[in-house]
Amino acid sequence: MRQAFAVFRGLVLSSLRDKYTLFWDLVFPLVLLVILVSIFGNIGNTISEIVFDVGLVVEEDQAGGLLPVGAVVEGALREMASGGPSWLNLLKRGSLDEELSALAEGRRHAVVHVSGAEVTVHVQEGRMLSEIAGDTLGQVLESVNVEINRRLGLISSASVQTAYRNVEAAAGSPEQGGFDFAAYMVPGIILMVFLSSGLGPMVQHLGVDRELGRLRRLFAAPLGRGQYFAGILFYILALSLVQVCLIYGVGLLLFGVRLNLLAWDAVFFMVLALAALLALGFAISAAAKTANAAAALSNGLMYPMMFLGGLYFPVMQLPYPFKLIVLANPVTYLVNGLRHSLGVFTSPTPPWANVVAPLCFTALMLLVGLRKFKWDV
Amino acid sequence: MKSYLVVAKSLMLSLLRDRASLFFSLALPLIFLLIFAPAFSQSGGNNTVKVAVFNTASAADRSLLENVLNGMTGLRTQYLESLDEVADVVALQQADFGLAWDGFVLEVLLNPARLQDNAVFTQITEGIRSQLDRKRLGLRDFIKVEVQKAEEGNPDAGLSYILPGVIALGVMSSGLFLISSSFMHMKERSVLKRLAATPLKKLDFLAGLITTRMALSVISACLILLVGWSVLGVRMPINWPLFVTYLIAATLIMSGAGALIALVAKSARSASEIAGLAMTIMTFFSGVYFPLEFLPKHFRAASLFLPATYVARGFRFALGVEPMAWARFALETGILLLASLAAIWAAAVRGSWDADRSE
Repeated sequence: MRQAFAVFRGLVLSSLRDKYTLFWDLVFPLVLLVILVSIFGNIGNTISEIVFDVGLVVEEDQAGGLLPVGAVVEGALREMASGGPSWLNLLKRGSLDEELSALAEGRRHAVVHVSGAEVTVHVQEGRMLSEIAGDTLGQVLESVNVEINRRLGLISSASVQTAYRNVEAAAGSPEQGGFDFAAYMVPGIILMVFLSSGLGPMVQHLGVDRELGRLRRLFAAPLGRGQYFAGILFYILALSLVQVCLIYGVGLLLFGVRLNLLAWDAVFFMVLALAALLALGFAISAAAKTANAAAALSNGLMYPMMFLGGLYFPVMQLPYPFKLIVLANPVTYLVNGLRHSLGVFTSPTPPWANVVAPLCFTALMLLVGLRKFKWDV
Repeated sequence: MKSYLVVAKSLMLSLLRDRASLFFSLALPLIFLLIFAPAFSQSGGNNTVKVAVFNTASAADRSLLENVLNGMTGLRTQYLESLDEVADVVALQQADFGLAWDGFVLEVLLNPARLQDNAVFTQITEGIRSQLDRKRLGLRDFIKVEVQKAEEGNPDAGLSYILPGVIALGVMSSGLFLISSSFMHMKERSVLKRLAATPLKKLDFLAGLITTRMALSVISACLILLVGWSVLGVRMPINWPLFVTYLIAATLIMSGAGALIALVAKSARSASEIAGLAMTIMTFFSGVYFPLEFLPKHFRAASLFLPATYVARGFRFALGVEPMAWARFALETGILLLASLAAIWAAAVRGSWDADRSE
């Protein structure tokens, strides 16, 4: 035990002396949490604040139709553009060709062209904001048409109303509140640091120490292999504990996220996550022949596991073959289980799968690791 | 010229042995492309949108909705017996969104975690509502609305947006770490000090070093375009001469950003770590994956100071995804290029090649 503690102490001191390791282990996850919540937590409001530059070209109705469509459309759009903060900046400056070239140069998001009773909304395909502007204008003009029909007494019954609501995606009781993106992100960031711990320090220490012959020298001293291994595990456990506290603290202080991280099922999923990801790190150390190869394998696995595990956004709706990766990824089940147990998001995978899949994965990785691992190169 | 070629060849061989640089410049952007393409591409594109429906309307209105839904392409409809069932399948992500129809109100159930998709589902719903109105009320078309899209371009705006962003990411990676990591490490290990004692000119060495990163940028961009074209089916009206020229300019611009970092960092390790952090920040705040307009105001303002913002936009312009006035493009690129060359000059040519003397 004393020897294991000595290894643990050595690792802690070495980390404390390395400001970069401290930054990436302790500060970076917090920076990432703040960035993601600030951007995506309010994306609905941010998008609704976008102002679209829309060119309007009205051609006189030569046929002298029943209704001055140009005037009606212009009136409706002007009313929309004038009232308070609006999503529409209406520009009526040039001919159709001039406006279309402004659209082609990116100075307009869309161009509305009224010719007789025909209204054409020109947008640029493949340009995201232009397509959003086009769809929105299309809806507005459809509603103008309904309104004209109504004012002319051509329709009497009410038009269809749409009512939007979010489903109760939080697993807890309604009193716990609805969906909160910051609360959704906190377990995601916790598992991200566990993934980094499993594929980082474990692989790095085992790989580099083995390759440089440090292990051989260490084991010549009165230090057992189990004690060395226990020292690394203690270090990762201590690091993970500090990381979880910091992430929760920032979530609470900056975004008011209150989660019961000490609930037995949440603790179970966090322990299971650490075990599964450390087992993966152990298997990588065993399978890779050099420290360089181990690092490359870790990096190659880390990003797909992170992003296709649903740590930052839901992934169960992805099409095949991506969904196969999602379903084969233990992080998917771990993060679903943790979020569900914390009451922040209903698990899209069955509760039994959230336990069984990571357990099987851990067993498999341990089996690979124990069979292949060599203490010496 | 001969010394430049010798340096370029040896540095290229050294780069090919550097698995970490190859991973971050070649493999990582590809991994990101394959991860983010299905996540950020519009759900209404090639993917089928699954909608769960609970219908309590009269027989006529019920079949009206069924007809409208059947007539919409890319929708897969699942009829359920209760509103709770619809809510459950939406919450469990077995359906993309839910609809409840009583003949008057079309209730739409969205999963709040589907942040990037809900705008598309709202759009689809408004289309359904419009069709219902049209059929039920017998609307007369005083206004015939047609949304006309330019013929060129990829039908999936999300994918079109991401691909140039990922190319920019690869260029950012190879350029940013050129001076901040490779050059600084060689300086710290006294490789440059020894080279300075030979008749090799500083500019020849620097040109060789930059050439290796240019090659890396070109290979990375080609791989991304190839995967985008063959796996994701992305077709873009690429202006090839402009694209290749900009690839070179963008690598220089990002190398300049790396040189700025090298000027302020105290050691190779700190320069490399700062570059890593800068890369992460620029990934989020430079409009690489989503338009800058999606960022909160203060982040949008900060993005104006990041070279990656202009590099990503330049690639979207060169690949025909985002229009821009030529004068503006030339001005932005010219200013950044001049500033970058000045930074590279200050850090790598004018600055000492001896780590001991710099301290």
